[in-house]
Amino acid sequence: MTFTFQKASQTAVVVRIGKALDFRNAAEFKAACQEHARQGIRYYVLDFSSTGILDSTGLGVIFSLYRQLTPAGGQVVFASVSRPVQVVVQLTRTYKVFRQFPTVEAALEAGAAPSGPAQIGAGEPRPGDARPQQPTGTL
Amino acid sequence: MPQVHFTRLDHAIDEVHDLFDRWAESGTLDGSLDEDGASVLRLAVHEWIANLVQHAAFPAGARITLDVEPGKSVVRCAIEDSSVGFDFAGQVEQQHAILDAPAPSERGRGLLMLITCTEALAFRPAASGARQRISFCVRAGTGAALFEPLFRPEDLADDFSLLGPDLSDAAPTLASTPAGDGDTHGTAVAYPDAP
Repeated sequence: MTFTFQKASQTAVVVRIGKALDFRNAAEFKAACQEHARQGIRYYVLDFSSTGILDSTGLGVIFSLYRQLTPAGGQVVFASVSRPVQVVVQLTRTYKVFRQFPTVEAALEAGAAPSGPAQIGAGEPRPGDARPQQPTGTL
Repeated sequence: MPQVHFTRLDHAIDEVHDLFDRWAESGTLDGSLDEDGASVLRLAVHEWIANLVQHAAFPAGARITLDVEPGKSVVRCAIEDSSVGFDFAGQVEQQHAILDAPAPSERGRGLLMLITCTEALAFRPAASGARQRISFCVRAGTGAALFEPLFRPEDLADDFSLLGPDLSDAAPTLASTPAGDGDTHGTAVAYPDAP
């Protein structure tokens, strides 16, 4: 029930979501993200490779972070999305909001490129994207 | 399949996921749901029990009973509990109201998630002699499209708020069902888009 923050640059961080992001640790996640935002982090790569549970509360805090960052040109992106998380993303259609990348590295590469403020509907591929992961759910 | 009982609220969610992990290892649900369907079922059960853990009162002690019945391309699930119960329809209404708030809380969407994940959802409130009960199905290939209003990117695009459009087309409707009809003498959730 842990997550780790790994700073990738002055403005980017990789958050390795552990086994779960749900009502049990959502508040802790939110507080940690806000602390990083105060330190100038504007680009959050959420690594879901080990995540089996993302519930409504977990998704809610991600959206809260997104709402906080977007006006300032920040972004939240998903990387290495596990199948159970992909199911949630498909059910909730949040792929329309959060870009997905097959790897953390690809997400960081895209974040390093000048792209301006986060674009709504950025789940769709755009020219110059570092191979964003397409929604693959069959739901 | 035998019923499973949870009596330790603090551990109930962990025990639920341990149970689903064991079922995944043993292939218990393989004949009924594919991997994604099993994830949907797990999520639905998680959301309901999380709701109980966070919000329900159990003055006489907690006892949550999970009854899962795998069928052909469908799993039927019922969860009874010993809480004093709560106003399901009112809570769902409240959760829809959250969506219309200028700065919506990140919490309070669990029931909407549950509704999205499931079919044939029926709720029986706690009453004298009857425990609160919810039942639903998860079908292979489940993919309800009702959840989109939960987070509305188009509104964020407009003004970074979640104020927005009329949800009447997408929101499930709640209707009281007649008493005396098995477990349906509570609230049923109808799906406008259901086939």
